[in-house]
Amino acid sequence: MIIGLPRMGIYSNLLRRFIEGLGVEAIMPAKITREMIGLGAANSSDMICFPFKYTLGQEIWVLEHGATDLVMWNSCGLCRLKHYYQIQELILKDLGHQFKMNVITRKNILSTIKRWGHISHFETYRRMKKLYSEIKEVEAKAYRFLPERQLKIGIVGEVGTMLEPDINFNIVKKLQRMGANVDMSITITDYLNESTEKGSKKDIKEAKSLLSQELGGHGFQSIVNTIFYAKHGYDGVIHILPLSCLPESTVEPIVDHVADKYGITLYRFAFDESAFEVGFDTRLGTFCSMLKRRKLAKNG
Amino acid sequence: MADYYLGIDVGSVSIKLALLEGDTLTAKAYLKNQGLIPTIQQGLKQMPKVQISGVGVTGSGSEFISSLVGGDYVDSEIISHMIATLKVYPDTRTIIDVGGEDSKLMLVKDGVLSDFQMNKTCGAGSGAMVETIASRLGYKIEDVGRIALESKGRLALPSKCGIFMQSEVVSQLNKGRSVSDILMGVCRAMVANYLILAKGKKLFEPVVFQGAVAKNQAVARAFEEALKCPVIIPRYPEFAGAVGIALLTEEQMNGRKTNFRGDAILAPEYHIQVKRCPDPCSNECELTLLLYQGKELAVFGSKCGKWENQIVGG
Repeated sequence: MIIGLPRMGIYSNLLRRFIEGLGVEAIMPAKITREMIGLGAANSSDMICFPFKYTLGQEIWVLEHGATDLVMWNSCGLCRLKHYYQIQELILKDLGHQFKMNVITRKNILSTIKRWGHISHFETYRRMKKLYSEIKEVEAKAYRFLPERQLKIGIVGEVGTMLEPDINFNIVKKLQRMGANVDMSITITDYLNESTEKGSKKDIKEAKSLLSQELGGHGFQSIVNTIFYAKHGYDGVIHILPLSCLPESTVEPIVDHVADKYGITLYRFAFDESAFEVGFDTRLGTFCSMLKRRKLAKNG
Repeated sequence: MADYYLGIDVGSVSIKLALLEGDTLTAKAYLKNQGLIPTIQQGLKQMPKVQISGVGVTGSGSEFISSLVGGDYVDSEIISHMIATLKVYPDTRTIIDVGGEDSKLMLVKDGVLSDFQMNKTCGAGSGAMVETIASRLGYKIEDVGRIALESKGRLALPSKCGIFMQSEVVSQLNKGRSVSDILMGVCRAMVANYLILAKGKKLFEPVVFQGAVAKNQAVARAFEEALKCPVIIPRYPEFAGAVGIALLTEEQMNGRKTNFRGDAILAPEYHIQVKRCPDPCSNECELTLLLYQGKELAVFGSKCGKWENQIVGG
């Protein structure tokens, strides 16, 4: 069994080492290249969300490089992520690939790891705990706040695109280089702890009054976290959405509304296979310059 | 002795140079971009020989040009445009900038930029749209405004795609529509495409319209019709970016000595070379090298930043 893994941003190496530590051979692309994204886009329906395309592209790559098993997360939620494993399996089988699709959910993750590693329940738990602390370490390093950076920017949006530097053109590092401390509203730790809403109970109540129904994904969190950043003295919020993402495009006007209401500067970046980096850099640089100027004007 | 500040705006279609003496524009040059280095050299030759106290560069490839001329300050073109406009029209709330291939919308609140938008994947809301159709009809872009304003009838052309627009223009021409009606329709369609940037935003008066396309009176009229308010056009709309970066440089210098390399840039031995980053790495960056007499002066384009000697956006 050779497991083909999709990349997971700054956690990629941890994840691969964890799987390999179970005694299972794993293969993962070193980077999500433009070619992989193009391959995924070419083989998927035009209107499907962008994360579907870039995960499909990676799956094609790992299968071409010898993977026999694939792994896909099933959120069991309301957005299209829960269909990914089914549609991707169909597309890949149509392309002539032979493989087994392993669907991971919150419920079966422990039993799957136990089965792969032939390890006891206790050992599985111990390893997961170790992985958790390693994840925390990586996050603390990537998103640490330095006093010399003048700006404070919060990032909200679709979690996969937010956490994948290859897709979001390395937004965190670029912002940090431009002198901004970056807070990622949802990290894997938050996700595992089910504490993806940063705001207080009052903020959550307000967000619920604006979006009363479940959407799936993290659309609701984008609203709550925007309110949180506005109330906690952040200079700006960046809303990241992959194109045609249902939860994020649904909450778009609501996020605009709360940003307007609480007076925080919001900028939105939409990513898809045709996004290009030069234009992105210009807009990101201008956003930072704008925030610095606004801060200067405010402080006299 | 007055201080001179030079601003260089590298656009997608043209390169603009503006020389400021205090706040007044003393010399300017507008050149079609025909290779970065020769165009910049030609532009600098047109500038009067004065002691320059600072050079600012903005636009696409600004860091590259900055290291060629010895620039003192680099900033984004949006900030530059805003600075230049607010200097002349301090009450401005909305700035419309339409260039050759880019278009930008800037919203100003309390004298500071509050929101901005740029065209991302489509150029149908920029000057290229009008220019393509005009040249298809055999007219020079400079004459479009005059001819379009003679239009009597209102012609609705499909907006969004420039190619579909071209076929619609041909079919209207076959039907016997007058050229002025067609060109006015094209200007209106371009404005409609541009205003996609303003979706979900409130535009307030006064509105300033700049960029080289602002010299086209018909586009200005189309903006006034669409926004239902008067549109202010500065005296030299195409130089706003260059003037803005010169003003910004003046503000940022604080008595520093300029890095400007003067006449040394005019030597013909400058070359640009493109090569792959030699290090084994999955980024596989394409590096742009600036060479002088075969010697590397500066390198740009690496994602990790290890070759760069300057940091983007500062």
